[in-house]
Parts: sequence; C-alpha cells; structure tokens
Amino acid sequence: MKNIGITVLLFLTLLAMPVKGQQGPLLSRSYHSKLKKGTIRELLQTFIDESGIVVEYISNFLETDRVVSLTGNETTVSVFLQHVLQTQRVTVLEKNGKLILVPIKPPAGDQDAFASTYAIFGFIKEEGSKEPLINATIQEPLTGKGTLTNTFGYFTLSLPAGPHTLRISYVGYATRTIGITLNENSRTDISLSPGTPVPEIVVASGSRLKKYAAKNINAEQANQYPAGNELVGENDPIRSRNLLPGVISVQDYADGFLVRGGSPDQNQFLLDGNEVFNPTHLLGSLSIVNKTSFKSMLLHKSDFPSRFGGGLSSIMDVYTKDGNMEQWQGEANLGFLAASAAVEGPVRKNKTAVMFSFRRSLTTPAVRLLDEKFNARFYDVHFKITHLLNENNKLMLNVYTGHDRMKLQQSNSNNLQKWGNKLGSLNWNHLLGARSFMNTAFNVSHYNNLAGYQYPLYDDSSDVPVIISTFNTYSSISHYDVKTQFEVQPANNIRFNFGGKIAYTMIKPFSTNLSDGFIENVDDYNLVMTLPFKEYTLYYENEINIDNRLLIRPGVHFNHYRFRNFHFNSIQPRFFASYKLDDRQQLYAAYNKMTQYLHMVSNPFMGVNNMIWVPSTRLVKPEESTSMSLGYSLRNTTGVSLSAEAYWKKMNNLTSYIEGGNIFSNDNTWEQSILTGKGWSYGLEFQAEKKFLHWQIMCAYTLSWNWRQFNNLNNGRRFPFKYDRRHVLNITVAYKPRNNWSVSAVWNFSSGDAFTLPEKIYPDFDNGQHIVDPGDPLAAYRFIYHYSALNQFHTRPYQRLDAGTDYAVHTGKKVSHKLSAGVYNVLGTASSYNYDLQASLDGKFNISLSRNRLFNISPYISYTIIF
Amino acid sequence: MHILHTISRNKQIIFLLIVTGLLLPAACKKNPYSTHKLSNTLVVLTELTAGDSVKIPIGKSTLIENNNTVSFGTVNNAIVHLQDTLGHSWLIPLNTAPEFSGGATSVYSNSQILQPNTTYTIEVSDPELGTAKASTHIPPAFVITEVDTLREIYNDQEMLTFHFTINDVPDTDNYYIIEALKQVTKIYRHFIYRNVTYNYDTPDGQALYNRIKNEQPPVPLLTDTIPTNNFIRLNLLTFDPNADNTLLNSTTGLFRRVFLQSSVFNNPLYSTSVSVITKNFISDSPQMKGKVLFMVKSVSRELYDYLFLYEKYKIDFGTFPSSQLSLPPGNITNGLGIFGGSFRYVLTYYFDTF
Repeated sequence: MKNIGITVLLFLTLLAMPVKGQQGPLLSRSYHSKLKKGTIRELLQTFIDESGIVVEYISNFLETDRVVSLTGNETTVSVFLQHVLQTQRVTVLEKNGKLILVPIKPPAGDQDAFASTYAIFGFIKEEGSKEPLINATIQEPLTGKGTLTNTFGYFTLSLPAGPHTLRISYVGYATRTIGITLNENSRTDISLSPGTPVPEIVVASGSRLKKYAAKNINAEQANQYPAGNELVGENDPIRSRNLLPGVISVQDYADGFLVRGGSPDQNQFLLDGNEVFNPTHLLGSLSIVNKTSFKSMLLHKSDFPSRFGGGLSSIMDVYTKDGNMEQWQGEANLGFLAASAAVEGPVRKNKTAVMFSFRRSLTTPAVRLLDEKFNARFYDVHFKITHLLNENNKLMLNVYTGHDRMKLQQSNSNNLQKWGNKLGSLNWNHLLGARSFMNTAFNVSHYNNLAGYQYPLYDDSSDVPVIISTFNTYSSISHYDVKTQFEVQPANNIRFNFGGKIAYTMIKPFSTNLSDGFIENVDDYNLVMTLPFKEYTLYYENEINIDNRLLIRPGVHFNHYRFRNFHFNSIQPRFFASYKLDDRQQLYAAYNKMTQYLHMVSNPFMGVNNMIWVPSTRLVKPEESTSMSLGYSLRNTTGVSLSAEAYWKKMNNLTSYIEGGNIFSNDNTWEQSILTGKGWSYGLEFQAEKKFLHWQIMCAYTLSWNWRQFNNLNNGRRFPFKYDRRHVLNITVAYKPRNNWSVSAVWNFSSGDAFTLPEKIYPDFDNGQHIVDPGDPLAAYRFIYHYSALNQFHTRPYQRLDAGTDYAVHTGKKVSHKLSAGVYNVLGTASSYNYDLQASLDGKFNISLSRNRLFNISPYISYTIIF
Repeated sequence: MHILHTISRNKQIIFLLIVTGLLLPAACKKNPYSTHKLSNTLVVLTELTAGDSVKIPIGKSTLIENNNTVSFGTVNNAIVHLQDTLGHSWLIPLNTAPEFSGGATSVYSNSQILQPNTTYTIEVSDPELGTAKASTHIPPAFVITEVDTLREIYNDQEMLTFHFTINDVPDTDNYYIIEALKQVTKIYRHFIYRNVTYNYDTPDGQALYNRIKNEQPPVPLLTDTIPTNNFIRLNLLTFDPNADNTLLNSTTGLFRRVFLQSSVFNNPLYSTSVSVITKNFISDSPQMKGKVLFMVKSVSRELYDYLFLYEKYKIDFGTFPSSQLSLPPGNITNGLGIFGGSFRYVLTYYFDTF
C-alpha cells in the first residue's frame, strides 16, 4: 500500500477508461429498428417491443427525451444500443437474460480515494488446454480500468475493495464476464473458450491506449488469410508477417525477410525467448515454426521494449504452445511439401503437459516436379514439457532441432547448402506476489552452416570445362544465455519492467577448402580460430498512464560487450508514447537506439545464403541504429481499421552485402577483409483493413528509400541498398461464406531490386606491358570491367499471386478434417531477377536475364486431421 | 483532430485507393535496365620506370552492350605530352614497331630516360575521346642487399627462394612490389665470312652457310640473344606476414606480385623472402626462352593501390560475378587506367640454353 501511495504521488492518478460495455448473446442478436428517429425513451420501448428483450434502466441517468436519429445500418442489438446511447454516460450489462443500463462511475480518484485497493492477479488461459493467452484483455467496464496479460499469460489489476464485474476478451475467443468481490489480494485464473468473438457494443474497441506499436499475431489472426500463409500446402503462420507494411520478403534464393531497409542479420528471431540464428527452411521460404505448435508472435519494428537488444531492424518474438493440461489432442498434416504431426497432452492432469511436433519435407519428389534443378530436404522436431510446480511456479523445458540440405544444379554452377539449428531452453515462471512476476530462462542455441559452390573453368579455345573447382566453407555459432525479467505493477497506471542477461557466444569459422567436389563431412574442415564474446545486459523501463489519453514508456537498455581485449559499452535509450485523439483514433511515437554485436557477412557470389557470422571487434565496430517513427491509427465500429506510420532510421557500421567481399576465414586477417559503412532508410507505411459480411480485405502499402554509404565503395558516394524497393503493395482478400469454409487470395507487388553491372571494359594492365601468364586458365579474358556507380540499375518489378481455399468437416465430437487446396504463384512469376554478363575474347557480350523462382505455378492440396 | 470523422467510411477507402493509385505509376517508371548514356574513354596503362625509356600504352574502352564484340579499338592519333616538374616537356610519338602493334593498346614512346624522385605529368588528347590527364611521382632510388638464393620444393613445386634486405628510404612511406618476369629473348644466329656478318636465319644466309661451312678454316655459327618487349609472368609465393597479400585470399597461395608497405614493417633494413616458381625458368620453346628478372620495385602510391586491387580482381575473376569484382582504382582524369611510377632493383638470371 505504501508503494502504491508513493507511486500515486509520483505519477498522475489513473483516470477511468472510456465507456465500455459488456458483450453477450443478447447483444449479438440481429436487430433492425423500424423506428428511424425518436426520443431515447421511444426507441428503447420500440426495441423492447420488437425484440422481446427486457431492458432495465433508471430514467434519472438518461436523457430520455433526447431525440436520436438512426442511420439504418444498425444490424445488431449492440450496434443499435451503441447509437442510441452514445451520448449517455451509461453502459450496458447483460445479466439473467436482460440488459441493464447502469451509470458510469465517476473517475476513480474521486470515489476511491479512501477505499482500500487490492489486486486481482493470475493467468488467463484457454479453456480446457490451460494454454496461457498472450495480450488478452481484462477490464472492469464500469471504471474502464484494465490491463493486458504478458507473454506468459500473467496479469495483475488493482481495484478498490468491493464487488466488481470484469470483462475478459481475446481475439478469436468468446468474451467472458465474471463477477468478483475484492476484500484482499486475490489470485484468479480465468479461462476463455475459443469461439466467435462478439463485436463490441461501444466504440471502445479502438479506445484502449496502445502499449506498444508491435503487431501481435496469434494463431487465429495468423490464419485470417490462409493464402498468405500457405507455401505449396504447408501452412506457415510466420509468413503472415510478410503481409504487413514495412516488411519485404526477398527472393527465395536469399534469406527470408527484411524490415525497413535493414539487412537480414538485423532481424532477431526469438523462439520462446531463445535466439535463433537462421529460423528458416528452404532458404527463407518457410519458417522453422511448425503451425501445430505455434501460439503467438510479436513483430517489433517501430518500438523496441527495453528488454530486447541485438537486432537493429526487428525483433520477432515467437511463442509456442505449452501443451494441453486437460486432455490429449493432436494434429497431422500431409501436403506436397511436407508431412507433419503434433501431439500434446497431460502427463499428469493439470500438472504436467507435453507437446511434441515433427515435420519432414517431402520435397524430393514434389519439388523436383516443380523445378528439376532443385533438390531440398528438411526436417524439424520440437519437444516441450511444461510442469506446474505449484500455482506460483511453472517450469518449461523446450528442445528443438532442425536441419536443411539443399542442392541446386545450374548450367554453369552447382550449389550445396546445409544448415541447422539446435535449441534448448529452460524457463521458470514465478509469481512473486499479487503485483509482481518474474521469468528466468537459460537458453542454448547452436547453428551451423555449410556452403559449397562448384563451378567449371573452360578452355579458351574449345569451351570445354577443363577444371571443376569447388569452394567449401563451414562455420558454426553457439550461444548461451541466462536472463531474468521482472514485472512489477504497483498500481494500474504504472508498471516497472527490469531485468538482466548474461550471454556467451562462440563463433567457429572453419577453413575454406578448395576441392574437386563438395566436402560434406565437417571433420574435413580445420578450425581456423575461435571467436568468443560475452555480453552483460541490464534493462529498465516504466510504463506510465499519464491519464486515460496518454501513455508513455521510457526505458533504457545497457549492454557491456567483451571480445578479447575489445570492450564496448552501449547505452540504448528507448521511448514509446501513445495518445488517444478520441475513442477511434490514436497517435503514437517511438524512439530507439539499438546496438548489434553480431555481423553477418556473406559471399554473395555464391548465390545462396552463405551466412558467416563474425563478432564486433576494434576494427569491425558494433552495428548501431537510431530510429524514430510516428504513427496514426483509426479503428471504428464498422470494421474499418486504418494505420499510417512514418519512420526514419540511421544505421552505422554495417557490413552486410559487401560488394566484392570474400570472407573465407582462413587466416587472421578477416577483420581487414570486411568493409564497414553506414545506411539509412525512411518511408511511409499504410495499412487498411475492412470487414463486412463474409468478406475481409486488407491492403498494406510501403513507400521507402534505403541507402548505403561505404568509404571504400562507390568512391565514398551513397548508393541504393540492394533491396531498395520503392513501392511494396500487398492486397489480401478473404471470403468466408461459412464458418468451415474460406477462400482467400494474396497479391504482392513491389519495385525491383538495385543491382550493379559493368558498363564498359578496358585493356588489361599486364597486357599493356606485354606480359603473358601461361598458367592462367583465364588468359583469354584480358580486360578489366568498369562500372561508374554501385546499384545504379534496377530490375523489373516483382509480383506474385497466391490463392487457396480451406474446407473443414467434423466427423466426431473430437475429430475434424481440413482440406486445403490452392495455387502458389498463380502467375508463375519470378522471385528474383539476375542480370549476368558473359563474354569471351573471341566472342561477344551477352547480358543475360535469369528469372529465378523456387516454385513455379504450384498447385497444391493438403489434408489435416485434428483429433 | 477529427479529420477522418468527416469522411465516410466508403470515402476513406476511396481516399486510400486514390493515394495508392497515385503512387503506383511512379513504380512503373522504373526501368528494368538503365538507359544511362554511356560513352567510351581513353585508357592509360603506364608504369614509368626510372632508368628506362618512356613507354606509354594508350587504348580505349569498349562499351558493354548486347552483341558488342569483346575487342578494343586502337588509339593511333593521340597527342601525348609528358612533362616533369623541372619544366621539361616531351611530345611522345606513336611507336609503330611491329613488336608494339596488334595489341589492345598502342604504345607511345621515346628514348628519354626517366629519373627517380621526379614527378611526371601526362596529357593525352584524342580527337574522338577527349583529353585525359594524370600525374605520378617516381620514388627515389633504393637498394637491396644481402641477397641469397635457395632452391626449395613446396607442395611438389620447385621454387627459387630469394632472401634479401630492403634498404628502405627513411622519412617517407614507401610502397614495394616484388615480381618476377621472364623476358623473352630473340635468338640471333649469324656467321662472319670474309669479314662480312651474315644473318643465318634468312634463306640466303642459311644457303650461304651450308655452302661454306666445310671450308677451312671452319666458319663458326654464332648465337646471340636479343631481349624483346615480351614477358612471361612467373608466379610467386610469400610467407611474409607483413605482406598485404594476406588480404588477397588467394586459394592457391600463389601470387603475381607481392605487396609490402614500409609503414607496416617500419624498419630501415627489412629482410624478407619471396619464392619464385621455377616451372618456366627453362623452356624448349623458342617463344619462351629468355632471362629471368627478379624485381623489387618501389612504386608510387597510386600504382600500388591500383595493382593491389588489380591482383585481387585477377584472383576473383571467374569466381565472382562481374558486378562483385573489386575494381582497380585509377588516377586518370577523364579516362581509365593508371599512370604510375617506379624505381626497380633487378636481379637477372639465365637458365635457358640457347
């Protein structure tokens, strides 16, 4: 209590949230009023007469003689009452089959000044499985006081002593209302049932102040546009992020996705809090997260809460299911690309649960049908066990392993790529009290990557390959960390988040081998050196509701880094604020400084994601960024939501995609081989979504500029980033005529990529001195290429159309089947364009354009059984 | 505060579509391939060597366009002026000797001997390609001492290893390039008959010799070697950790040139060793017979930088796509290539029998 008092003195009193109502079956009934204009009393009486629903109210609290005009668009009881009562300070409670109009309490500060305050706290979980729900809302409608669950489903809400009605809601789940009487701090775990959510009665859906700008996507939301997730029949919930503005999915032959002009290594991927260095299968096309184990993800690209560090451009915070605590259930899927299965259930009911998923590609026959040059295999296994030690303590053990092998045969070269992740984590959730929560985790993440590039050298006269050379490179990275985070919420208007982390990372670059063929046995590589580094992190932030219109979240992330004798301290201030213009509209702003100690350098000439990670050193300084963004969001009651955001980001000490770079770490000079420079990007992002009847449409558009500048490249002048796509547009449409049937399509359009190509050649220096090299197999290629600027050309624009349909049937109480069919890349368009230049001394120039795509027009069908 | 309140929801969507529609045409303006207007330029590829005469290879670039032939036009009408800092100026004429013709560059030369520690400026004017300019400084003279050689075998390759000490010129940053070439020599066979010298390698000379060769006293057939302007590259190997070659990532370990900077070794007497692959020391082919030149050069900074990235370019060529190659940085204003200077210390060896 003392803490609360101090907090209240230090920070402004929390004011009541705006009017919100309670949802229930009565409110969701359809209703059309025959009376289009009348007094509130007349309209309510007509409603009672026509609907047969009893409405109780005390006329003293209503301006019953006030005349209200209806628009005619009121189709449900909730919308009707919202329009009739929108000027009144009342809310609607549904109780015992009746609707009760009750007055809104005055602001808490006036009424509760002398009342004792207690906390209701606990977890919000899914009914049956006891799966914690992330970012579920718990709110007292009368006062507007409310909070969200954290990433472990935990909440705490302080209320005055006495009876209260709480409304708990979560996207994709039926909203629930419960009554409690608080006489002391009270632990209450609340369950929600999956089901069709009811539209909110009052225009309050957009009124809750944003706590962060991150996009939270749960399993239900990720599947709103199935065509956006399907990759040739394999449903990947992580792919739904690609539909968001500011995100681009680069060509299938590269590594995954890019955010706001950042490089691929600037996206930190956390799987249940554990860092994953390459979270993809199939060269970035498919995430390592199996749909059957996916629970929720948050994509941070505008604001970065202080607990995060290490990714300049984005943090993908992905959570998987704990396992069903009540009953065994499972799911199996068979598609063109892979077969997968998952089971989960209680080892000890309501005490210990396990979740196991397995997926293996079927790509050898299927993908070869689509592209005979491409051969890819992958698998992943995920096991999780959750054990409740008691009601305040929970342990979670997470183990994942996955591996990819890809071979690409082309006319002039062959590529071999093998990579894999091994992850393990132990998580401990602990409730310290009614208003505080702690999570401690120990994580291990190991990644290894083997890349081979084979090419022939041709005889000058006969064009017959005389030498077949193969570059083989192998590297690995192992990461260990222990971290703990605390959340303390002494009052509803303030929350303290703080914690720390100790991390140790070991990078092992191995020798580069030159051989006739691919070297797949890692024992044949020699360890060149080890590159270990340590990080010590502390963070702190406050989340403060200044009043019911303004929320601020200042914070700081401090980091100390040690690599050999290079020490680096980084203080990274973070700030986020949201301001409510009215019940529909909000403004929000964010400022972040971020530091990243891992650099990913690549051999771009190899054409595949040949990623080699290197640590920051005295020469290769840590990557740093400063970013700012300003956003606007609108959400109204008719299913329209709009958002617009402007951003600016500056990045220093970038290393990725160095032109001409060759980082074969076979000596101690690797630092000097790396060029560092800076980059900046800025742009505008728009997103609009509309839901009506059975339709749902989403449009996301990004206008951006992305630059790089390296002192030793392009004569020090700035040049466009390779993925400087000026315009990116995603249009997504879903049609759901019935609950068990949906049809959807996604169209993606983006400007082309920047690329470099020589403009002219000039005579060779040695040739000018009349020097010949009889041992040079390329002696005939006696000229020097020249280009005047980097990335001055652009490829043609990209587009892709995907379409699919899902149909589900139930054949028993617990058994359902889902059939998915569709076409990936309906138009058969390219996912990357490569301009190449070929020439020989006796021949002619040939500028060739190759259109690469991992998947051509790819019809698919997949079957899922859920039991 | 409530701008969008005044817009109906249908209008909001229409507004968004209009905004999108306005922005999209800009995307369509992107050309898949540039329409930049490009033109050819003069090319200068010169290493002015102290103690040597002036030889300036000049050529022109070729634009890369589909179906353009990979060949180079000649520049035979250029006006080439060379000037030193003392105000001496020379007009350098085109050398039309057969040994300089047929290449990708035309050679402009005169017999003026170049001086060490001197700055030279060149101006090349071509009626078609315009005027290109550049300047360079030939470094001061230096010597190498304590030269020792050793025959070795490394990775089944025979090598001749040179141990030597560079006597670095103090108080300046010097840039050293070590290379080995075999200068092809022309064999000149002749005989002297009645005090007249005859060339044996002509039909008449050979016929005369066959007639008189048995006369008494016998007429000896004499053989002489004449150095040509053609050279054969000899590959090198170095284990010197101070050499910049450690940055070149040669997968074979062999180099065409070894690069050393005095700022790295920072010692007036710097001992190092470089091995030369002996594979082409001896040849049966008359076109490859010659003398081996082991050269330690002190070069101008711009020549060092150019040749270093040129070396990297040669290593990466064929492995990297053309767009990923490191381009040698030239110093020619309004042109391409390099105009550099060097002072060289040469050790000469003969291994061929003539």
